[in-house]
Amino acid sequence: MSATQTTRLCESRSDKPRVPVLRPRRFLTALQHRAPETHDLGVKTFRIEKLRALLVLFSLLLLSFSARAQSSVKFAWDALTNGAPVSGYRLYQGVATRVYTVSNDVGTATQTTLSNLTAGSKYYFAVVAYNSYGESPYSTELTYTPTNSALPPAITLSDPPNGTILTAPADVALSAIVVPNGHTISQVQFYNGANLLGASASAPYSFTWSGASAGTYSLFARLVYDSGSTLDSSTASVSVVAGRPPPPSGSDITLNAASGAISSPFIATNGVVYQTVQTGVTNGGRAAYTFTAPSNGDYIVSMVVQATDNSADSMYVNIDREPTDPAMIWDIPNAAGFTNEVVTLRGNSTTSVPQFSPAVFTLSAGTHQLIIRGREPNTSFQSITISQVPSMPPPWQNTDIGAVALPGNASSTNGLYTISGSGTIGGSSDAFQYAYQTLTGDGDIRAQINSVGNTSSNALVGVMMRDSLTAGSRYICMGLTPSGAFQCRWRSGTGSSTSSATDGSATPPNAWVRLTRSGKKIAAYSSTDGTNWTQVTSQTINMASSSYLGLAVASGTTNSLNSSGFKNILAVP
Amino acid sequence: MKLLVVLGAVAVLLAGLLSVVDNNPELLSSLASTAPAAVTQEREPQPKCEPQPGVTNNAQVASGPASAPLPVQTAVVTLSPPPPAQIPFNDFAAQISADPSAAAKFVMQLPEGPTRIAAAEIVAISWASNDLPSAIQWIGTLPDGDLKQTVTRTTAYEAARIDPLSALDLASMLPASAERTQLLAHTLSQWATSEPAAATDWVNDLPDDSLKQRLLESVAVSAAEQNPEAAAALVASAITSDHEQSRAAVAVIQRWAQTAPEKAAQWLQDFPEGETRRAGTENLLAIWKLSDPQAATQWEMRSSAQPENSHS
Repeated sequence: MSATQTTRLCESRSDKPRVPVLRPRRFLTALQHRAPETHDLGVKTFRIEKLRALLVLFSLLLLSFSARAQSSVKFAWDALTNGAPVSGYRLYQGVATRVYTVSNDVGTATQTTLSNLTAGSKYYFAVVAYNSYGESPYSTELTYTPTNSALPPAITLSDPPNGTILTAPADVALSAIVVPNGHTISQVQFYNGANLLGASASAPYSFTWSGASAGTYSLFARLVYDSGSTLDSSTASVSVVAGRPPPPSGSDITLNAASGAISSPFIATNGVVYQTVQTGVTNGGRAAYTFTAPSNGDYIVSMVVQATDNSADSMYVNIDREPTDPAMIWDIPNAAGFTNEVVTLRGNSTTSVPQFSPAVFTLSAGTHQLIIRGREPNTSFQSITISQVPSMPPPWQNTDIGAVALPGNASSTNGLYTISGSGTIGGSSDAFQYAYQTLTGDGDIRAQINSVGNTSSNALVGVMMRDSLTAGSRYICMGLTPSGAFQCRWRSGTGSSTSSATDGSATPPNAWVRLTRSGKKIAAYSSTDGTNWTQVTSQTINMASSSYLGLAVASGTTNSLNSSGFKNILAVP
Repeated sequence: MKLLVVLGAVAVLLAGLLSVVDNNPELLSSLASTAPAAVTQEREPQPKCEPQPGVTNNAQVASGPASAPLPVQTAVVTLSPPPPAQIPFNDFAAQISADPSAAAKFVMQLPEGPTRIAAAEIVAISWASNDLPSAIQWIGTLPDGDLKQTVTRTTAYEAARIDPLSALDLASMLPASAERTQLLAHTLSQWATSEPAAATDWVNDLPDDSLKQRLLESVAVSAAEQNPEAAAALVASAITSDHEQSRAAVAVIQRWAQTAPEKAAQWLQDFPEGETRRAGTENLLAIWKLSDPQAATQWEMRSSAQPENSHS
């Protein structure tokens, strides 16, 4: 690009080059470089003069600093033709609009060439005519930025920084810093790899990429300058991670006792439901409440009840089916006033040996019906709450494997996992309670056995990897028997027989068990301190790529539940 | 010759049935009322043989030195050794694989009941693992009922590991139940390890939203093994049921923590306070500390020092 250019000063209202606007009026007696709107010489002018002085100094510094990157430009203007005497013209220049710091007296010529201009700096120019009376006002102003092709422009992607992590859907703010070095900047384009995201034609060069989904992106800015030349910034890698799950909705369902379908001999008074007579399950008062379970899961029922007579404090409770006698009898603890009590079904026990664990109802998401039947007189209830049981923390699930005679359960409190299960792990099919997670690929599970229920010498409590949740599935279980023996059992083929290996012993809670899977190889370990592991066996079991790992409890019998505890569980699935 | 093979299969099938019921008292009692007399007369409930540390009573090694400890630290035993007349399952399965069609025909000649169903299940396992198309053809010949459903389910589980689409077809033949949901989840879990997008599409075509949520959880967890970010997106955008989403989110954290714990931590920090966040944090730290305890501890300290959800 040539360092010398010709520029014409023009009035803004005309396409044709014309002389600067030199009004035939009295010239000022003093040479003043001022903006047209600052005719007074008050404080405002004083400030301008101070600023001008500063700019002069600054300009000098700039000139001396970048002397190599200099350029020249040729200016021309039309001669004044309104008849006023003209002694000459002065071309003023500055680095801010209407603040001129340099005067170039060119005499009567109507053109001049300025040099010593710094490439890349923006200059402001205006011309005046002068005579013995003074100067005319300024002409219209012209700006010019000299170029220097010896230096290329520069571009930096200033935002986002490399390594930024955002949450989807992300609004990614991109911005670039451009140093023109005298080149003409057309635009800055912002790219994700080969894909153009957007562009900005003027500084500050920025663009916001809205709604970026999860993924890793390579972002850069491309400068387009002069006649289509381009220059790319360095690349910033940005990760957009998936957004947070929405907060869980409230899961408690509260029902007013009197809001249901109430049948005699139940009486509903002031929000309290009760009956005054002793009845059986078929002729007792009936209260039915429709509710919606928010999701699949286990639910318990609690009621605000008043039960003052130990010999007559019970009702029947069931969900989606009529209660039965005696399995659905609920014995209510004595209370002087209304208290909140969790429904604990008597089941097959007697009033002297109640089942203190809450009655758990497994419900699917959707509409259900709670049915309460009266049994004994003057047992009153005020409100009912149906709550989802926080049985195991995510990602744990639990289920009975195989045909168990007694349903098992699993719960977790303060890091202690209590699993209760009936049945036997062994033979060609299993029956037990399994708290599990999905295992994909290789994995590791280890747990401290805090306690082992002594239900049978054939009981087993430990960690298990399992091909599927069917009774005859391939599996391997490293556990502890009630006698304290470390024992590993496994089934290598679906429906085939079980093998086992026994090695060492321990007394809970000083008992740890562990399984590791690497490809088809599964190794079983025992430990008495959780740090030093002894390999009990290593087996080749062709489990599916996606299988299960977890905690297994089997009572070794069909007629009892084995309740055992685990803690310090580490699952690397 | 073929007849001899079939007769041999029949013999081992009868023995195999005993193996099936070995640990199933309900089957034993059922057997007494429904199975051929020859079977019931042979079989008496056997007390379970308790495994003894260091002692072998495995049928395959019983012909060696009686009750002699193996010369290794741990001994291999069977928990329920079959009586002498029994043939181990693996041998039985091998016989079925020699001519599964003949074995299937024999099974169908047994009296209806749990024994026949159990025998059919054994045939299905063996046949499906060796010749899935023929096993599926056999299902097509079965009369509707419990036996067909059991064989279908059993065959589908075997198919899941080699041909998930066939397994899904089989599962679709079953009536809606918790068992079918479990089978679908298991099958999709296998499929999603290799083709998560296809598995997701399949689930999204289901009309039952509750079932869809449960199955998307399985897909997301399996997909997380290869691509935790994509799985996280699926969890956040497609799974809306609280429990399924919570379990899947923590499962994704577990897998992400093994490859890119910082990213997992970043995602986790955006979770609202609650059970999912707590469980996710516990799992993240436990797994992260296995590979880089210093970084995990530093993050833990920073995280506990910050107010909830204060990150940008």
